[in-house]
Amino acid sequence: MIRIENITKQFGNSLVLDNVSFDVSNELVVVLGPTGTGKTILLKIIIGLTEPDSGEVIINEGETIGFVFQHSALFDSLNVGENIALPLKEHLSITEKEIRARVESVAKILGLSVDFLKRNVTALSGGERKIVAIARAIINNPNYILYDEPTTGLDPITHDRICEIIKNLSKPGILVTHSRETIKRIGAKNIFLLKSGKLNKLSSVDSEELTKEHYE
Amino acid sequence: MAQLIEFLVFPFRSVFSSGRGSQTYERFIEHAYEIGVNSIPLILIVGAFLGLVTTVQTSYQISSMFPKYFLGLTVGRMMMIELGPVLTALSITGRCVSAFAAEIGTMKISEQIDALRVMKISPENYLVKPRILAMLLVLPLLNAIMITVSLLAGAIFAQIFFQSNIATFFYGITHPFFPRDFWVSFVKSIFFAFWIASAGSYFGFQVSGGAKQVGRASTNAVVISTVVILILDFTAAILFFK
Repeated sequence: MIRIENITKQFGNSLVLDNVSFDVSNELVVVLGPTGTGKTILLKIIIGLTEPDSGEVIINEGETIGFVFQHSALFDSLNVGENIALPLKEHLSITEKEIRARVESVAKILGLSVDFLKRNVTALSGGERKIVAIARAIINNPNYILYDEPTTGLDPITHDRICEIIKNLSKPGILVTHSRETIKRIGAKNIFLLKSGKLNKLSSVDSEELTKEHYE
Repeated sequence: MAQLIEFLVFPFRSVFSSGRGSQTYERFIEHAYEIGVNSIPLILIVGAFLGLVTTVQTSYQISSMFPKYFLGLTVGRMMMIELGPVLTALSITGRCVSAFAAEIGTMKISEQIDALRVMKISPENYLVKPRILAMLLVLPLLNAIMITVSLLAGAIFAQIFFQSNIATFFYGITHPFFPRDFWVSFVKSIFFAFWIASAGSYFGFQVSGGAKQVGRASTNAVVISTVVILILDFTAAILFFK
């Protein structure tokens, strides 16, 4: 379980996260909010890239987290397969053949061909980059996945494809987005609205609490 | 002051950072090829012209006063002790160190370094250590190439234009030959390599913002590397030849 306890983060006079608390156990938690409300900061605090001013993140011992960056953060000097294999190469003592088999098996789950694995990442579209980023995040079979705006800037077809992938993976974790359409497509039930630093639980994506200013 | 200490500590922290050796080795080979093999044309051109200019200038200064083998002796000493290691390091600073800062800086602003941290891969081990180790291996070799090419160019030029001959020129280089000149040149290259690779990587890691900051990091890396080379060169002169 990931337990977020009383996280507070301030930049200058702007209180971005104000005593935020929630738990993630067996399902995908969605944090909805307009751009610039601190959703990415929240994820970066959970993954350990940013220090909170106060509060703590507790992760059960031995549990691991994969992270899908908003802009994918793929390595331009590596091809698709090498990008996906990077965490395996660093952390496991397995042969090149076993690494290739693991990469191909993840690629198959995400609907990527073996030829696609040889492509240079600089030649990929935005949607393809997101899928590769997801593949890299799941290659080590983490307990949780954090998605930072996984559907931002995608055309409707690619948007639906990414949502389908996330839904089929059915991994617990946190997904932050400003798109109500994304939440509907994924079918997430555990939804929070981040507004003025406070996190409010919504009954559903169609909740009356949601006004047009909160989503895209 | 804090930044200076950080700069001085950075390469040691990187070289002793932990991580998987095979990844470091792969990246080391890549960088050794990029810095070494791909820099050879530049080193050949700089070395040849350096040899020609040094021979012309030396001949102008001493030809009427000393025997002809003094030309080889003087050019050889200058190239071995001073111009070879310094000009090799400056050439590689322009060609590779600025690229280190730009590449790492771009990785920083595009969250690739954050991605490494998330994957529990040490960015210092993955990005900096192989660059420093590759530079330590390659720069002394490029220095040797630079010295060899410049002396050959100087010797041929002296034979054609100064009625010297190649044998006399090389006699000057080796009579007398002090082994200390050779190994000081080598040691200087190693120190230059360590600090210029560190400077390029360090300024890459300092980038935050966008393209303008990447450009600035690249410039800073070249400026600081140049100053570091000159300071180290002066220090070596005091230590070994005073």
